[in-house]
Amino acid sequence: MRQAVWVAVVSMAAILLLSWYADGARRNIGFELIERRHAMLEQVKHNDMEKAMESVMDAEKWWREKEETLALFTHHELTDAVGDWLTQILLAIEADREYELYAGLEGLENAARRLHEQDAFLLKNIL
Amino acid sequence: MLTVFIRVVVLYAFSVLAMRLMGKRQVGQLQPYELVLALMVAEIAAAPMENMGTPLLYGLVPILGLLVLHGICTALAFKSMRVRRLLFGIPGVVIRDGRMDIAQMQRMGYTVTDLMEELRGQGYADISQIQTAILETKGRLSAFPKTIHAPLTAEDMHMEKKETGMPHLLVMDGRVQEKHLQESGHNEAWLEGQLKKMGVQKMRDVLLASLNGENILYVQQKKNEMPHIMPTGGDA
Repeated sequence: MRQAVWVAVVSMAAILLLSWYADGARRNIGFELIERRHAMLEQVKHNDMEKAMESVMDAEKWWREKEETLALFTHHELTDAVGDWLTQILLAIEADREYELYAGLEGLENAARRLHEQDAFLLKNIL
Repeated sequence: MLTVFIRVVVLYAFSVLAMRLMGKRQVGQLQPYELVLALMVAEIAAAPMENMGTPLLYGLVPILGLLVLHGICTALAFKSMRVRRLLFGIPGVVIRDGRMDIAQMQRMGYTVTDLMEELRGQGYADISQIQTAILETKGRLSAFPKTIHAPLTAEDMHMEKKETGMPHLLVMDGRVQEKHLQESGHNEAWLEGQLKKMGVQKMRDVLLASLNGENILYVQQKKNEMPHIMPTGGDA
Protein backbone atom coordinates (compact mmCIF):
# COMPACT_ATOMS: atom_id res chain seq x y z
CA MET A 1 0.00 0.00 0.00
CA ARG A 2 2.80 2.36 0.93
CA GLN A 3 4.31 2.05 -2.55
CA ALA A 4 0.95 2.79 -4.17
CA VAL A 5 0.52 5.87 -1.99
CA TRP A 6 4.02 7.13 -2.75
CA VAL A 7 3.53 6.57 -6.46
CA ALA A 8 0.24 8.48 -6.26
CA VAL A 9 1.87 11.38 -4.39
CA VAL A 10 4.79 11.62 -6.82
CA SER A 11 2.46 11.32 -9.83
CA MET A 12 0.19 14.06 -8.47
CA ALA A 13 3.20 16.30 -7.89
CA ALA A 14 4.40 15.67 -11.45
CA ILE A 15 0.93 16.45 -12.84
CA LEU A 16 0.70 19.70 -10.87
CA LEU A 17 4.19 20.76 -11.93
CA LEU A 18 3.55 19.98 -15.59
CA SER A 19 0.17 21.72 -15.46
CA TRP A 20 1.63 24.80 -13.89
CA TYR A 21 4.42 24.99 -16.48
CA ALA A 22 2.42 23.96 -19.56
CA ASP A 23 -0.76 25.90 -18.83
CA GLY A 24 1.22 28.97 -17.83
CA ALA A 25 3.37 28.88 -20.96
CA ARG A 26 0.37 28.30 -23.19
CA ARG A 27 -1.65 31.12 -21.57
CA ASN A 28 1.23 33.60 -21.84
CA ILE A 29 1.98 32.73 -25.45
CA GLY A 30 -1.71 32.85 -26.31
CA PHE A 31 -2.05 36.25 -24.66
CA GLU A 32 0.95 37.66 -26.48
CA LEU A 33 -0.40 36.33 -29.77
CA ILE A 34 -3.72 38.10 -29.08
CA GLU A 35 -1.84 41.34 -28.41
CA ARG A 36 0.27 41.03 -31.56
CA ARG A 37 -2.86 40.34 -33.58
CA HIS A 38 -4.50 43.40 -32.05
CA ALA A 39 -1.49 45.54 -33.05
CA MET A 40 -1.67 44.16 -36.64
CA LEU A 41 -5.37 44.99 -36.81
CA GLU A 42 -4.76 48.59 -35.66
CA GLN A 43 -2.05 49.02 -38.25
CA VAL A 44 -4.31 47.65 -41.00
CA LYS A 45 -7.18 49.93 -39.90
CA HIS A 46 -4.87 52.92 -40.13
CA ASN A 47 -3.76 51.71 -43.56
CA ASP A 48 -0.18 51.38 -42.39
CA MET A 49 0.47 48.28 -44.50
CA GLU A 50 4.23 48.46 -44.32
CA LYS A 51 4.19 48.39 -40.55
CA ALA A 52 1.52 45.69 -40.59
CA MET A 53 3.72 43.53 -42.81
CA GLU A 54 6.68 44.05 -40.48
CA SER A 55 4.53 43.05 -37.53
CA VAL A 56 3.37 39.89 -39.29
CA MET A 57 6.91 38.90 -40.27
CA ASP A 58 8.07 39.56 -36.75
CA ALA A 59 5.15 37.53 -35.41
CA GLU A 60 6.02 34.63 -37.72
CA LYS A 61 9.62 34.61 -36.51
CA TRP A 62 8.45 34.76 -32.88
CA TRP A 63 5.93 32.00 -33.49
CA ARG A 64 8.50 29.63 -35.00
CA GLU A 65 10.48 29.89 -31.75
CA LYS A 66 7.44 29.35 -29.53
CA GLU A 67 6.15 26.44 -31.59
CA GLU A 68 8.99 24.22 -30.38
CA THR A 69 7.99 24.77 -26.75
CA LEU A 70 4.29 24.43 -27.44
CA ALA A 71 4.73 21.16 -29.34
CA LEU A 72 5.28 19.43 -25.99
CA PHE A 73 1.83 20.13 -24.66
CA THR A 74 -0.38 21.56 -27.39
CA HIS A 75 -2.15 19.83 -30.23
CA HIS A 76 -0.06 20.34 -33.33
CA GLU A 77 -3.21 21.05 -35.30
CA LEU A 78 -3.61 24.27 -33.28
CA THR A 79 0.02 25.38 -33.58
CA ASP A 80 -0.06 24.64 -37.31
CA ALA A 81 -3.27 26.66 -37.64
CA VAL A 82 -1.64 29.77 -36.13
CA GLY A 83 1.29 29.44 -38.54
CA ASP A 84 -1.11 29.08 -41.46
CA TRP A 85 -3.14 32.15 -40.46
CA LEU A 86 0.01 34.28 -40.17
CA THR A 87 1.08 33.17 -43.64
CA GLN A 88 -2.34 33.98 -45.04
CA ILE A 89 -2.26 37.46 -43.50
CA LEU A 90 1.19 38.11 -44.94
CA LEU A 91 0.19 36.97 -48.42
CA ALA A 92 -3.03 38.98 -48.24
CA ILE A 93 -1.11 42.16 -47.35
CA GLU A 94 1.37 41.55 -50.19
CA ALA A 95 -1.41 40.91 -52.71
CA ASP A 96 -3.61 43.67 -51.30
CA ARG A 97 -6.54 41.32 -50.79
CA GLU A 98 -8.63 42.92 -48.06
CA TYR A 99 -11.17 40.13 -47.59
CA GLU A 100 -8.50 37.48 -47.05
CA LEU A 101 -6.60 39.84 -44.78
CA TYR A 102 -9.55 40.29 -42.42
CA ALA A 103 -10.42 36.60 -42.63
CA GLY A 104 -6.85 35.81 -41.68
CA LEU A 105 -6.93 38.22 -38.73
CA GLU A 106 -10.20 36.70 -37.53
CA GLY A 107 -8.86 33.18 -37.88
CA LEU A 108 -5.72 34.20 -35.99
CA GLU A 109 -7.79 35.64 -33.16
CA ASN A 110 -9.82 32.43 -32.85
CA ALA A 111 -6.70 30.32 -32.82
CA ALA A 112 -5.04 32.60 -30.27
CA ARG A 113 -8.08 32.42 -27.97
CA ARG A 114 -8.18 28.64 -28.27
CA LEU A 115 -4.54 28.55 -27.33
CA HIS A 116 -5.08 30.90 -24.41
CA GLU A 117 -8.06 28.97 -23.08
CA GLN A 118 -6.95 25.41 -23.85
CA ASP A 119 -6.83 23.34 -20.71
CA ALA A 120 -7.85 26.36 -18.63
CA PHE A 121 -9.92 25.35 -15.64
CA LEU A 122 -13.21 26.07 -17.34
CA LEU A 123 -16.39 24.05 -17.23
CA LYS A 124 -16.54 23.89 -21.02
CA ASN A 125 -13.08 22.29 -21.11
CA ILE A 126 -14.07 19.68 -18.52
CA LEU A 127 -17.30 18.86 -20.33
CA MET B 1 9.01 7.62 -39.12
CA LEU B 2 11.78 7.43 -36.58
CA THR B 3 9.88 9.93 -34.43
CA VAL B 4 6.85 7.63 -34.48
CA PHE B 5 9.04 4.81 -33.24
CA ILE B 6 10.51 6.97 -30.48
CA ARG B 7 7.01 7.99 -29.33
CA VAL B 8 5.97 4.33 -29.28
CA VAL B 9 9.02 3.43 -27.20
CA VAL B 10 8.40 6.24 -24.70
CA LEU B 11 4.69 5.46 -24.33
CA TYR B 12 5.27 1.73 -24.09
CA ALA B 13 7.97 2.12 -21.44
CA PHE B 14 5.76 4.48 -19.48
CA SER B 15 2.77 2.12 -19.71
CA VAL B 16 4.83 -0.87 -18.57
CA LEU B 17 6.24 1.18 -15.70
CA ALA B 18 2.73 2.23 -14.70
CA MET B 19 1.53 -1.38 -14.72
CA ARG B 20 4.52 -2.51 -12.69
CA LEU B 21 3.98 0.24 -10.16
CA MET B 22 0.50 -1.13 -9.66
CA GLY B 23 2.25 -4.07 -8.02
CA LYS B 24 0.73 -7.00 -9.88
CA ARG B 25 2.49 -9.38 -12.24
CA GLN B 26 -0.38 -11.02 -14.05
CA VAL B 27 -3.67 -9.80 -15.39
CA GLY B 28 -5.34 -12.64 -13.52
CA GLN B 29 -4.41 -11.07 -10.23
CA LEU B 30 -6.14 -7.77 -10.95
CA GLN B 31 -9.15 -6.58 -9.03
CA PRO B 32 -11.94 -5.09 -11.19
CA TYR B 33 -10.87 -1.48 -10.61
CA GLU B 34 -7.29 -2.41 -11.48
CA LEU B 35 -8.41 -4.17 -14.66
CA VAL B 36 -10.21 -0.98 -15.72
CA LEU B 37 -7.04 0.98 -15.05
CA ALA B 38 -4.98 -1.45 -17.12
CA LEU B 39 -7.37 -1.18 -20.06
CA MET B 40 -7.44 2.59 -19.83
CA VAL B 41 -3.64 2.82 -19.74
CA ALA B 42 -3.54 0.85 -23.00
CA GLU B 43 -6.16 3.09 -24.65
CA ILE B 44 -4.54 6.31 -23.50
CA ALA B 45 -1.06 5.24 -24.61
CA ALA B 46 -2.36 4.26 -28.05
CA ALA B 47 -3.79 7.70 -28.94
CA PRO B 48 -0.48 9.65 -29.15
CA MET B 49 1.17 6.57 -30.70
CA GLU B 50 -1.22 6.67 -33.64
CA ASN B 51 -1.57 10.42 -34.00
CA MET B 52 1.58 12.47 -34.40
CA GLY B 53 -0.43 15.65 -33.85
CA THR B 54 -1.16 14.68 -30.25
CA PRO B 55 1.62 15.77 -27.89
CA LEU B 56 3.35 13.00 -25.93
CA LEU B 57 2.40 14.66 -22.67
CA TYR B 58 -1.26 14.04 -23.55
CA GLY B 59 -0.48 10.37 -23.17
CA LEU B 60 1.87 10.55 -20.21
CA VAL B 61 -0.12 12.89 -17.96
CA PRO B 62 -3.36 10.84 -18.07
CA ILE B 63 -1.35 7.74 -17.20
CA LEU B 64 0.09 9.61 -14.22
CA GLY B 65 -3.46 10.57 -13.33
CA LEU B 66 -4.48 6.93 -13.36
CA LEU B 67 -1.60 6.12 -11.04
CA VAL B 68 -2.88 8.80 -8.66
CA LEU B 69 -6.34 7.23 -8.73
CA HIS B 70 -4.90 3.78 -8.20
CA GLY B 71 -2.94 5.00 -5.19
CA ILE B 72 -6.01 6.65 -3.70
CA CYS B 73 -8.21 3.59 -4.26
CA THR B 74 -5.58 1.25 -2.83
CA ALA B 75 -5.06 3.42 0.25
CA LEU B 76 -8.81 3.76 0.87
CA ALA B 77 -9.32 0.03 0.35
CA PHE B 78 -6.74 -0.67 3.05
CA LYS B 79 -8.35 1.70 5.50
CA SER B 80 -12.03 0.99 4.96
CA MET B 81 -13.96 -2.26 4.63
CA ARG B 82 -16.81 -0.39 2.99
CA VAL B 83 -14.55 0.97 0.25
CA ARG B 84 -12.99 -2.44 -0.15
CA ARG B 85 -16.46 -3.97 -0.67
CA LEU B 86 -17.31 -1.23 -3.14
CA LEU B 87 -14.11 -1.63 -5.20
CA PHE B 88 -13.44 -5.33 -4.91
CA GLY B 89 -16.87 -6.77 -4.25
CA ILE B 90 -17.16 -9.68 -1.86
CA PRO B 91 -16.42 -13.36 -2.43
CA GLY B 92 -19.47 -15.59 -2.64
CA VAL B 93 -19.92 -19.19 -1.53
CA VAL B 94 -21.35 -21.03 -4.53
CA ILE B 95 -21.05 -24.55 -3.08
CA ARG B 96 -21.80 -24.89 0.61
CA ASP B 97 -21.67 -28.25 2.43
CA GLY B 98 -21.61 -30.04 -0.90
CA ARG B 99 -24.70 -28.26 -2.23
CA MET B 100 -24.79 -25.57 -4.93
CA ASP B 101 -26.16 -22.23 -3.74
CA ILE B 102 -28.26 -21.37 -6.78
CA ALA B 103 -29.46 -18.03 -5.41
CA GLN B 104 -25.87 -16.94 -4.81
CA MET B 105 -24.84 -18.07 -8.27
CA GLN B 106 -27.68 -16.10 -9.82
CA ARG B 107 -26.72 -13.00 -7.82
CA MET B 108 -23.16 -13.30 -9.07
CA GLY B 109 -24.14 -14.12 -12.66
CA TYR B 110 -22.22 -17.38 -12.37
CA THR B 111 -23.61 -20.24 -14.46
CA VAL B 112 -23.30 -23.94 -13.89
CA THR B 113 -21.14 -24.11 -17.02
CA ASP B 114 -18.73 -21.57 -15.50
CA LEU B 115 -18.66 -23.55 -12.26
CA MET B 116 -17.94 -26.89 -13.91
CA GLU B 117 -15.27 -25.35 -16.11
CA GLU B 118 -13.47 -23.87 -13.12
CA LEU B 119 -13.73 -27.11 -11.14
CA ARG B 120 -12.30 -29.12 -14.02
CA GLY B 121 -9.49 -26.56 -14.30
CA GLN B 122 -8.60 -27.31 -10.70
CA GLY B 123 -8.63 -31.06 -11.30
CA TYR B 124 -12.11 -31.87 -10.00
CA ALA B 125 -14.17 -33.56 -12.68
CA ASP B 126 -16.72 -34.82 -10.13
CA ILE B 127 -18.66 -32.08 -8.37
CA SER B 128 -19.79 -34.52 -5.70
CA GLN B 129 -16.23 -34.42 -4.32
CA ILE B 130 -16.50 -30.72 -3.46
CA GLN B 131 -17.42 -29.59 0.04
CA THR B 132 -17.07 -25.83 -0.46
CA ALA B 133 -16.40 -23.60 -3.43
CA ILE B 134 -15.92 -19.86 -3.16
CA LEU B 135 -16.00 -17.46 -6.10
CA GLU B 136 -13.31 -14.89 -5.31
CA THR B 137 -13.45 -11.20 -6.15
CA LYS B 138 -10.86 -11.66 -8.90
CA GLY B 139 -13.16 -14.12 -10.67
CA ARG B 140 -11.29 -17.28 -9.67
CA LEU B 141 -12.93 -20.19 -7.97
CA SER B 142 -11.41 -21.67 -4.81
CA ALA B 143 -12.60 -25.25 -4.42
CA PHE B 144 -12.15 -27.33 -1.26
CA PRO B 145 -12.82 -31.04 -1.53
CA LYS B 146 -14.60 -33.14 1.07
CA THR B 147 -12.18 -34.54 3.63
CA ILE B 148 -12.56 -38.04 2.26
CA HIS B 149 -11.49 -36.85 -1.19
CA ALA B 150 -8.71 -34.55 -0.01
CA PRO B 151 -5.12 -35.61 -0.80
CA LEU B 152 -3.44 -37.56 1.99
CA THR B 153 -1.05 -35.61 4.16
CA ALA B 154 1.79 -36.80 6.37
CA GLU B 155 -0.43 -36.03 9.37
CA ASP B 156 -3.13 -38.41 8.06
CA MET B 157 -0.51 -41.15 7.81
CA HIS B 158 0.82 -40.29 11.31
CA MET B 159 4.21 -39.66 9.76
CA GLU B 160 6.73 -37.20 11.02
CA LYS B 161 8.14 -34.93 8.39
CA LYS B 162 10.49 -32.05 9.05
CA GLU B 163 9.99 -28.67 7.38
CA THR B 164 12.18 -28.40 4.33
CA GLY B 165 11.63 -24.75 3.52
CA MET B 166 11.77 -23.15 0.09
CA PRO B 167 14.42 -24.14 -2.47
CA HIS B 168 16.97 -21.48 -3.36
CA LEU B 169 17.64 -20.55 -6.98
CA LEU B 170 21.42 -20.18 -6.95
CA VAL B 171 22.13 -19.68 -10.65
CA MET B 172 19.87 -18.40 -13.41
CA ASP B 173 20.97 -18.01 -17.01
CA GLY B 174 24.61 -18.41 -16.07
CA ARG B 175 24.48 -15.69 -13.40
CA VAL B 176 24.94 -16.35 -9.70
CA GLN B 177 22.02 -15.08 -7.61
CA GLU B 178 24.07 -13.62 -4.75
CA LYS B 179 21.14 -12.92 -2.46
CA HIS B 180 19.73 -16.45 -2.70
CA LEU B 181 23.19 -17.95 -2.37
CA GLN B 182 23.71 -16.05 0.88
CA GLU B 183 20.28 -17.05 2.16
CA SER B 184 21.14 -20.69 1.54
CA GLY B 185 24.18 -20.25 3.81
CA HIS B 186 26.79 -20.86 1.11
CA ASN B 187 29.24 -18.86 -0.96
CA GLU B 188 30.44 -18.80 -4.55
CA ALA B 189 33.51 -20.92 -3.80
CA TRP B 190 31.30 -23.65 -2.37
CA LEU B 191 29.02 -23.50 -5.40
CA GLU B 192 31.93 -23.72 -7.84
CA GLY B 193 33.22 -26.75 -5.94
CA GLN B 194 29.86 -28.50 -6.15
CA LEU B 195 29.59 -27.73 -9.86
CA LYS B 196 33.07 -29.11 -10.49
CA LYS B 197 32.05 -32.36 -8.73
CA MET B 198 29.25 -32.60 -11.28
CA GLY B 199 31.64 -32.01 -14.14
CA VAL B 200 30.44 -28.46 -14.82
CA GLN B 201 33.51 -26.29 -15.40
CA LYS B 202 32.04 -22.83 -15.97
CA MET B 203 29.26 -20.98 -14.19
CA ARG B 204 28.08 -19.44 -17.44
CA ASP B 205 27.29 -22.91 -18.80
CA VAL B 206 24.61 -23.35 -16.13
CA LEU B 207 21.04 -22.55 -17.10
CA LEU B 208 19.59 -23.22 -13.66
CA ALA B 209 20.98 -24.36 -10.31
CA SER B 210 18.68 -24.86 -7.35
CA LEU B 211 19.32 -26.09 -3.78
CA ASN B 212 16.35 -27.47 -1.88
CA GLY B 213 15.74 -27.78 1.86
CA GLU B 214 17.24 -31.29 1.90
CA ASN B 215 20.51 -29.94 0.47
CA ILE B 216 20.02 -31.58 -2.88
CA LEU B 217 21.54 -29.56 -5.69
CA TYR B 218 19.79 -29.58 -9.08
CA VAL B 219 21.80 -28.28 -12.02
CA GLN B 220 20.61 -27.94 -15.60
CA GLN B 221 23.22 -26.87 -18.11
CA LYS B 222 22.55 -24.76 -21.20
CA LYS B 223 23.65 -27.70 -23.34
CA ASN B 224 20.70 -29.97 -23.97
CA GLU B 225 21.74 -32.62 -21.42
CA MET B 226 20.04 -34.38 -18.57
CA PRO B 227 20.13 -32.34 -15.34
CA HIS B 228 22.54 -33.27 -12.55
CA ILE B 229 20.96 -33.97 -9.17
CA MET B 230 23.37 -34.44 -6.28
CA PRO B 231 23.09 -34.36 -2.49
CA THR B 232 25.54 -31.82 -1.10
CA GLY B 233 25.50 -33.17 2.42
CA GLY B 234 24.91 -29.71 3.85
CA ASP B 235 28.65 -28.90 3.80
CA ALA B 236 29.48 -25.17 3.75
